[in-house]
Amino acid sequence: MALERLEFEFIGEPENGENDWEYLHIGHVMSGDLEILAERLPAQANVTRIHVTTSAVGFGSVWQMVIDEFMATHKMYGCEIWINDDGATPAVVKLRLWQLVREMSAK
Amino acid sequence: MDDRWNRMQDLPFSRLNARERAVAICNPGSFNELLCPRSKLTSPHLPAMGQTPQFDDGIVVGLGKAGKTPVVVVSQESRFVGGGVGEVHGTKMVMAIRLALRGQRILESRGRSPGDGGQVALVISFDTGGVRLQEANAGLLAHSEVMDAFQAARGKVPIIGVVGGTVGCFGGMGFVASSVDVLIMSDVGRLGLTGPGVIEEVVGTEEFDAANRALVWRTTGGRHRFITRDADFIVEDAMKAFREKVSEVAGWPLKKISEKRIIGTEEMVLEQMRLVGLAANDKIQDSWDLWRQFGNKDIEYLWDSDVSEFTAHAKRWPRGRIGERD
Repeated sequence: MALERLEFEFIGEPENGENDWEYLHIGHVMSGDLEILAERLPAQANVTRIHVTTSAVGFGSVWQMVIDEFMATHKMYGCEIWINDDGATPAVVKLRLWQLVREMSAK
Repeated sequence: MDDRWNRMQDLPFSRLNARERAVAICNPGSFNELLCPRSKLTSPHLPAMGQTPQFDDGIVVGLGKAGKTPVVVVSQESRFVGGGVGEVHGTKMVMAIRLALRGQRILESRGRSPGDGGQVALVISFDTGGVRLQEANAGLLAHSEVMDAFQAARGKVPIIGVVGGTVGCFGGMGFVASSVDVLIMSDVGRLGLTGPGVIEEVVGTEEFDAANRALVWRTTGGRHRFITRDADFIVEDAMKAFREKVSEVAGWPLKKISEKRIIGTEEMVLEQMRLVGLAANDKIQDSWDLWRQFGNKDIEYLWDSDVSEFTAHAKRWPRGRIGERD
């Protein structure tokens, strides 16, 4: 019944500092879906923290894989990302993360 | 930003989410959200029950402008726990109403006239099944606080309700939507107390078949609500249609808006009970029987025609008091 909280931390150089976003919010907490809130840390920050709250308990290693791959591809250093998940599949998580990147570059 | 706003105007209202509706119901670029997701004001109760909270607790509140009128906007998100009203969700709604009242007092103290942007209006987009069961007590309390705040706003800040989402407006929020000044619905929108699924569950499929969409919509849908005068206006399921109607009504003189209210005095309650008396009759087996009783002949045509045709030809409940006025 309890929720699971997972924390991930990545350190690296931000790929480009040109994007003009400060905070973004996408998605909904509903069965099989999730919401993502991304906040940009001050320009010099090179750490990214990802906080996941999920109702599907015991999938930490799957989250680790999905998020490792996301960070390896997009190098989103310098932000704080909060995910509220209600049992989304890895495919949906990747889709929402991809949407987040798209929204960032649109700003 | 205005690009997005323009695109939303062309989409069905029912397909937009709560935040998009709030942004698109105001003039372009005028909406400012309060307690946005970033403030992370989430439900303290849901995590204890293993339910993931959402950063806005399923409700968007903010300030904007509709036409020339400054508005406080409240918009419920049905995708999160069915739009259910919990403690934080309800509090955000109540505080929005109080904020509208406070804004009104400030504008008046500065001597702004109603025609000169000096009249604040409250716009609430309902998309909810009522009380969030996980937070039953707090949710119920929020309902009564909202109705209380409505009475406090009476004659000061007009309240415009909008029902056009995929869930509609049911449960306790059905009462709340009935106590606004002006209610605008689309024919996709539904308004009721006990939801169709619950009726079927409790009294059986023979009494009410919740899988029969035609039955559900002709009993709770916008067209029926327009005929029984629970809804004042019916518009197409288009964001633009809702925005235009809200802007128009928000620009009316306060007195004209307040007169549209259907409950809130003993006289009005008696009037409403007269309608219940009409419907709770052996001869009325279906909402369409009621339509016929009000003098509607070609029911199939009314049901299938587009909204403007329907509005022009539908004969509505000849409500005593209000019927005389319009």
